[in-house]
Amino acid sequence: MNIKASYHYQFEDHKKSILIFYFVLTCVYLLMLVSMSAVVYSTDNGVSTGSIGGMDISTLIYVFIAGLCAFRESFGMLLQNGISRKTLFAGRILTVLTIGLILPVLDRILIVVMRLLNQLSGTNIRFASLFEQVYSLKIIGMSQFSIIIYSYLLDLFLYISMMTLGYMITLIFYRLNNAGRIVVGAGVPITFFILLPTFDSMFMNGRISSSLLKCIDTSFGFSAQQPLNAMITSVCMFLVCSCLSWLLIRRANIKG
Amino acid sequence: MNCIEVKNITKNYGRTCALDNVSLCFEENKIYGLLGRNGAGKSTLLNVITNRIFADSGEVFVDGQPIEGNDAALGKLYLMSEKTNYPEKMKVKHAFSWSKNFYPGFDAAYAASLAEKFELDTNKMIKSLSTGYNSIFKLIIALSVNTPYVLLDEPVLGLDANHRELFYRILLEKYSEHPCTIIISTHLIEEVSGLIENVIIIKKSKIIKDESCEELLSQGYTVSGSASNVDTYISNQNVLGADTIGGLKSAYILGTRNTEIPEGIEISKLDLQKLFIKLTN
Repeated sequence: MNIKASYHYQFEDHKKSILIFYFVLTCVYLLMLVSMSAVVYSTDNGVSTGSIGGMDISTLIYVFIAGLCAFRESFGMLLQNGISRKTLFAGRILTVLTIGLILPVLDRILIVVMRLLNQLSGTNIRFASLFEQVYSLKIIGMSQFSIIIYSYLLDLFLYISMMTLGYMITLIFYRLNNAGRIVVGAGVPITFFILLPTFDSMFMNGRISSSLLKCIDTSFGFSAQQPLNAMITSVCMFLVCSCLSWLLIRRANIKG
Repeated sequence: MNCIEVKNITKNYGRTCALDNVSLCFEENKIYGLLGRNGAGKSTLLNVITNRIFADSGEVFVDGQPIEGNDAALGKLYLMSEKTNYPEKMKVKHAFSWSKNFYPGFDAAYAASLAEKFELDTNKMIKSLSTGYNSIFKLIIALSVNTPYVLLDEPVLGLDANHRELFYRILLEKYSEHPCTIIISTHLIEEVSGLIENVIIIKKSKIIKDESCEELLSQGYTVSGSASNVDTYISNQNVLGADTIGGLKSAYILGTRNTEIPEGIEISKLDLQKLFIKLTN
């Protein structure tokens, strides 16, 4: 199998957008730091505190969009160049894992740099990762090293699951015909955001919504402050999305 | 035996049958002409061979290996298709360097020299190429990949006469230096008739002819002369078609010719395009 070429191409395909994303992200954080510092100093000479939390949520959104955009072009290019769907998919999984391993490191570096800049500027602005924000009770008494490891692992599993989810959604739309696309594209949001809540409030007395919320809460360990739940859920989501993606890709035809 | 073997391929698009139980063998180091009218199933056949689309039934083997999911077999084929599958924003020179990654036999220096001959600017993005230069870009890769099987679907689409002639010349040079199997699917039959050794004609999703060009053309002949003489000669013959200019007439006959040739009649080889038109009408 020509996995190396498949992996190399698919990873290179993401490299430029990752660099642009982190450049923009760094600029945004610097801008936020400067503007918040200005506000803090202008009001009470630096005594007040500010907070920028969940810094890795933007990366989470980025990886989802990157997953959505990753299929069509690389599918055509790789099939054009004698790569089988099996090798293409193997390269895809390796690419997702590589990105999942690298981006949390970049996020950690960015947070550390912003904290250093914060110290240097003498302001009291707190920069927190998604893990620190969501599992704020869990981190009490934790060493800085443990927080970094937990943050890294949580981001890693969330990123690979979100990227694979985006990829799978694109594949579903790719495989559907025009009518199917309209049905799924409109049907899913209408079902989940209009029909289900209406049915739930009219006939179920909100039991479906509360069950769903409870399920999400347990899956991600929000109330129990258990990040392990979120990690396991993310890994399961990654595996399920990967399997479904393979089923969709293995008989996909080139279109046009 | 080294060949591309197509076994009982059937492909339907909804209610339209694109290929109906097609079986073929493309032998090594031969140039094939894949001919057929619009919608006959030529592109579908090439796409099935390269596993870009799946047939409803049947199998394709390359040198005895099944093509489906097989990188080794797929790596022996290169299909230059009408559709450009390279990313639009990729530069031509980058497409060349990626080709080297996927096809280790890709000759980058040769590709660069061809780009120079065709005056293709390799710094341009693929999306900015004109139709003709887009074909040239894909042709250069096809001629440089050095795979045992090169499949060309409408290779001269949008090319001017000068570039077409240059392409045919380079193709023959390449073939004589590094023989490989070349399958050319085209509508410009007259232009390729001098290149191809074997002819495959598809009509309404079925193969109606699969033989050597020489054999096919020996099944008939062309009669030329004054219109009255030709008319007399062809009165009891299976006539494919005829062209008349002034008092002169050329008729295309299917069948073996008479040993006695009347005076004022000239006999020559059959024209592939005329035969094709007759067979596919």
